[in-house]
Amino acid sequence: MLELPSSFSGRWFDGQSGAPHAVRFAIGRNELVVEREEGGAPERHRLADLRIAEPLRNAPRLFDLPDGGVLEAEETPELAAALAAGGHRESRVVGWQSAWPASLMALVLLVAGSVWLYMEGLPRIADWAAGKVSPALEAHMGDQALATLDRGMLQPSTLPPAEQVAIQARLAVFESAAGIAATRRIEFRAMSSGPGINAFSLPGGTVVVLDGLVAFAGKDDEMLLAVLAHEAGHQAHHHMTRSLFRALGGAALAGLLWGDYSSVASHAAILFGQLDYSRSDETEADEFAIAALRRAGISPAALARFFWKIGSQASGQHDVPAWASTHPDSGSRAKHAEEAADADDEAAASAPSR
Amino acid sequence: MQAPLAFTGHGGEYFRIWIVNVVLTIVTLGIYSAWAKVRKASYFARNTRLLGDSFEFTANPWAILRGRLLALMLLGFYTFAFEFSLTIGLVATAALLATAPLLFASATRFRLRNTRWRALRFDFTASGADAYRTALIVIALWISSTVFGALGGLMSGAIAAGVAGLLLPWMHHRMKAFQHRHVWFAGNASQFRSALGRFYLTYLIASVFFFLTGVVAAIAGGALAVALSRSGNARVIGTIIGLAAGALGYLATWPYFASRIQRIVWERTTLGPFSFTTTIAFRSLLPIAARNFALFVVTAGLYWPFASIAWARYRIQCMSVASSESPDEALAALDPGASRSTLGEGAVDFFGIDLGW
Repeated sequence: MLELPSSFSGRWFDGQSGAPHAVRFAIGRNELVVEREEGGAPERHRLADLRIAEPLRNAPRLFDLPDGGVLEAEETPELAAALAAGGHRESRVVGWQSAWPASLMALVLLVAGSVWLYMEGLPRIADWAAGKVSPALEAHMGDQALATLDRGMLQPSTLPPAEQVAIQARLAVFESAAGIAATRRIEFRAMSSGPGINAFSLPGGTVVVLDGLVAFAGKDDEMLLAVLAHEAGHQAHHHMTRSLFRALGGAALAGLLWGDYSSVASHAAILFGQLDYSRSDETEADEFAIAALRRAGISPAALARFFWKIGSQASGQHDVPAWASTHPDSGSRAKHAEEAADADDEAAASAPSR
Repeated sequence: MQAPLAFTGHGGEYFRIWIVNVVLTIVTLGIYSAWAKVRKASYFARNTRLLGDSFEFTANPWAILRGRLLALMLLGFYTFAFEFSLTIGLVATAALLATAPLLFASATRFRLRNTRWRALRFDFTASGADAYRTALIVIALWISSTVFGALGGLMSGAIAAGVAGLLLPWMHHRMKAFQHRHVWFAGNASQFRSALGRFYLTYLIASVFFFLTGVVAAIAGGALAVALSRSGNARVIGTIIGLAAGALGYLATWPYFASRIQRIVWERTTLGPFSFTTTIAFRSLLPIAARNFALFVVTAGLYWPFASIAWARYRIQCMSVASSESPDEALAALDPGASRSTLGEGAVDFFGIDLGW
């Protein structure tokens, strides 16, 4: 029998047939000695020449031998100790995985890291990436998106050309008065179904104005300008391109965290994550619009009027909880714009007495 | 005579492996995912035993990393190509069509060649031509709604999606048959008897089942919404209940579907003198799926490793290997000899790709 201090029993497979062979083996200093129970000279291998599987609680340890054979032995504390004494080092990852405190630390790191990525990292990476996209490519993406919308959701506008020109002219005057970049392109469209009281931005400087919005604003030109100023805010901050990159990053993160279990779970997480980003984009565009309106000498109350009026019209919208909505609640947006207008009024009232 | 498969995985142990995998994957921006994949697949393989001997997964993580980068580039290109232009979209679709069958066969081969039992490797024998013959039509149908949608508008896209939907059981069966007809182990080639009718029946029953559970849940939800409508939030409550009804329907249907398909496929597969039996049943799977789902939601996903262990334990322990003589002797007598050279570690082909996460 083996002359080494302690020996273990195992099964040896030759890599050629499915027959198991019972063996005894022992581990010395950087050495594995295997002796078949059916007889024959002991085989000696250097531990460094073997591929040794990582330890698992209930699974056998497997040693890949240089000749294509495999030695299989049940995992025991004695075996692990003998391997360590023989000079075999497990990977650091194994040490981390086998200890509860260290792996719970990993859990804390994971939660903290995901929250940071979601709150700070992803938006920053998206901003950086959006800045790298060439204006030509952005414009091209916008054109493609509009072409897609024109094939189904949108129809040609029924607004008289003269009125379209007049709106464009008023917007140009406003933009130069407010000192903001001119909107690259205005497209007038009507919604294929529903009233479509809306305007929206596409990547690369295209703003689509729906007939429903023009009708809704009626004679209130300043209200229409306030909405267009909000869209100019989306354009100035490249929100459309940024949201594309954030969607990519968010999908990657959610896929890592939950995609294993189900793509539905990870898509739900992506959706709610995007809604949060979307709401903060809307708030940012509102701020931009309020500042632009002020510089052009228009009261931010124009924006407030739009939100009040849309809030009272779309009664159903009130029912959607804030966390499930793409836009912040229109009542609170109206209040915010109104507060800005009130602050202006107070400043104007106190100015002469100064 | 039968030899059952045993599974010895442990939830707490796998939880630690999983959490370290996830953290290292995020910290390395996805690079570690290849090593994570090997540790995960090894865990499940080594805890699966037949006649006391464990399976093993021996893939080289670098090969997996290379494959993942390639797949990611292709999929990213395809996903966003139509955003840029129709031409680029069509080019991306053509590229996907041209490579996907090869990638699919390559992924299956990679997985099998890296799986061992008693130091004997599995293999996947389908050639590139076999893969193209089988998968091209399936992939074409699968992406037809996107292509028709981009070329001819929503309507033709919807029609293409409808046709593809009716052919879904056929496509699923075709791919399963392809996989189960080309496995090779120690001198034995696998065979699979067609079960297209059974596939259609399973899909039909699952659809009816899904529809019925959905309808029942929706009616109950609707009644509740009407009863609560005085609170003024009827629409929100209705929407939430509707979504919950859909989730419930899916939750009840999926175990039926999964257990039926697994049974149909394995009962028609043979590997040389060996056949397979499985006792997997909807009745037993439903409580496991329901508990896994509920605890997954309650723990925001942290239960996932325990859920995968529970699911693997049931699925694997349902399986037995059967043969006319004792499987013990038949498996010990396996001798591939010269019929096919033993594949070494380096024999993995260039596309050494692994598509399953």
